[in-house]
Amino acid sequence: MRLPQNLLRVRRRRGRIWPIYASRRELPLAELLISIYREHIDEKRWKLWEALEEVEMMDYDPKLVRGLSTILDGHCIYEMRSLVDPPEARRLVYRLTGGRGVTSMEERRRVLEEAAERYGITADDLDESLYADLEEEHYLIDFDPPEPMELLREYNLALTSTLLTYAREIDVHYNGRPDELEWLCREIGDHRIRQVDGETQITLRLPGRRRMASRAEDVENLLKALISLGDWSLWALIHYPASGRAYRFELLSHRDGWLLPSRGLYERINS
Amino acid sequence: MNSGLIRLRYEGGWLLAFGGPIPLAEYDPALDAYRAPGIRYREIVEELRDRGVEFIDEAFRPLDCLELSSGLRLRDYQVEALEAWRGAGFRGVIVLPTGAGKTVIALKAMEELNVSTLVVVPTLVLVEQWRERIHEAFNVDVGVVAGGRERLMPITVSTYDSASTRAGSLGNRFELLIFDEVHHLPSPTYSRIALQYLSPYRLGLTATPERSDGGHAALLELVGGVVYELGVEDLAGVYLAPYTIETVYLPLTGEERRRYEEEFGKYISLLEERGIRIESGEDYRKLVVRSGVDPEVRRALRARERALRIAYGSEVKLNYLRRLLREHPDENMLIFTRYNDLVYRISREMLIPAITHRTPKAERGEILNGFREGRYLRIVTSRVLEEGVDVPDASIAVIISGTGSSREFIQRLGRILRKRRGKRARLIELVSRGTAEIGMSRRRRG
Repeated sequence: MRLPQNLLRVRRRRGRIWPIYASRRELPLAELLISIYREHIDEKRWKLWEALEEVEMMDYDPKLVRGLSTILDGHCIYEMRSLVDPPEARRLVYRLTGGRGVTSMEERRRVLEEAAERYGITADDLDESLYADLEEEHYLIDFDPPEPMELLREYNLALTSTLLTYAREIDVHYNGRPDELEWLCREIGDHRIRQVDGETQITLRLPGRRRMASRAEDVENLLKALISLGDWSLWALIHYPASGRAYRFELLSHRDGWLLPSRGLYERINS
Repeated sequence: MNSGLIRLRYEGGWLLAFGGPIPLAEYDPALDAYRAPGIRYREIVEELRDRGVEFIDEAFRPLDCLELSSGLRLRDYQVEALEAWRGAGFRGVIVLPTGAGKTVIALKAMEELNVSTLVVVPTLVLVEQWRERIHEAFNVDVGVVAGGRERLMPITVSTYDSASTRAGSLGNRFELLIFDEVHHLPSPTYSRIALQYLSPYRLGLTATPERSDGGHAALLELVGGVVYELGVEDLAGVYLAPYTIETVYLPLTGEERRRYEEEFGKYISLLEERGIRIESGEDYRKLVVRSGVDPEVRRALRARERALRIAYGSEVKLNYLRRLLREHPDENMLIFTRYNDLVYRISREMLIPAITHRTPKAERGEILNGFREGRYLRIVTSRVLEEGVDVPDASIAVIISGTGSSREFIQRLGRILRKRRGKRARLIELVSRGTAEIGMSRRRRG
């Protein structure tokens, strides 16, 4: 999961950059958002959006609210509910108005009834179907809620991946030598592997011109593989897009690990 | 100081001089070279020649251009525009209303200079339109650098995005740069194109050079000043269809008025409480930035937004629209409004085909064709028909909202004017009386 660049929350100082992670302080917000999603099962998406906008109007950082909803959307299934194909239904009603539209409720009703008859449905159902394909008209049909702390961790992971998308160089150190990581690095780009006292050290250079989307996937996989290990550290040189400057970023398992999804995640995601 | 032969090279958008100093450049000790932005190339070379300084130019490697010849004929004002550009040393911006034939002028400019040319345009749709027009005119293969495609030809069309990311490698290959919709250029990313390319000849085209952030001053530096300008008024009736503008001031319903006052009042009282004055777009932008960290400002801005929506989508306006539909049953009508939800509301209530940026491509094409072929007499749309993309004739355009930007207003106007002669186009603007919207509508005129 990657967040849109405008939802990236970071601090920068003296050549260093770090994400503003969600921590226990944000648990009430996580709980609130999860319950809002839960309450909107079987509702149209625009109703959910309105409720989320209300939360943004409270004293929370709107970027955090939107970031967390982006993660929660990944736990949702949305579905169009329509008895007929909406674009086709629209074409039919436009044609029935002679391409002129209608100017009164009675006229509108007549056109909808005529169209509905051809489909063998009611005029009200047709009315509901006309724009059922718009995202806001989709229904939230299923929601698999994460634990609040897990939500925050998933968010933090997405935040880190998003930041690392702008990395030019990444250094990782970890104990042992699982093939997975080496194999991943080989996939991603230029790399150098060293063994120092049982510790594996990989320096990875990310090609500058790769497409952002595939880059995001690469760094996300790398990050997931790394945090599924017990003891690790990561340093990166980030070319932060908003400033055009380079910053150092540091992530250490013993200090930051608890902010990220727990071990075993990598296996779960790949299974 | 070094002496001997000066070598010019081009690297990553910079003109580098090794072996000795050149004018307008800074010394870079890391490179042991003098360094100037690409845009200085023409002046520097001219200056070196004037002074009789010998130099080897390894920087500029323009593509070879085939002989270009077309049977295009220009109208009087187009000839004048081209002359003005020539007189300014083949640099500068030509301002003409939409539909007045800017492309033809550009084609003639290419023909006259007969040099490698990069045409830079805002959208992929325009890339294809330009390539077609160039191919039609000169019957040459036209290159493209856009949307992941890259085929370099002496005449190539690119988007602002691609031309700016590829500046380092394309910047020394073209003698002439043509910027379509040049008002996009002064943004920080896009101005890189003008700054880094060596191209000595530059032509900017637009219907509306002004940007609200004062970017037009930057154009002077990047492309050259405005060398020729005609407004809609200068051409109407001669080359463009005659048109009329009517502004209809409508009241809100009592209930709408009450809600409007309530919401807008929240916004105003926050400004008063905080002693904030909004006198420019910049002031407003600052307020928006502040809303990111200040929930009270956030709530106030949202109240303002709600108030504007009430004014934009007033029931009185929609009734007026219904009346227009009834009064003109057989005329083509384009209906514009800023908000997508209002587009869909009109589409739903009046059963009129809608186009927004979310409309799937196939459906959009189907609706536009239907409109061209007379199957649909009305379209309601938000803002996707912008930027000179060919839109079918319409004899009436109704604007139910606006963003207060004069550029948008003129382009929308230009669109319905691009039509056959002899027809009288009507632009009808519906404004809610006694709301903040009136200020915007006036600002657009100004």
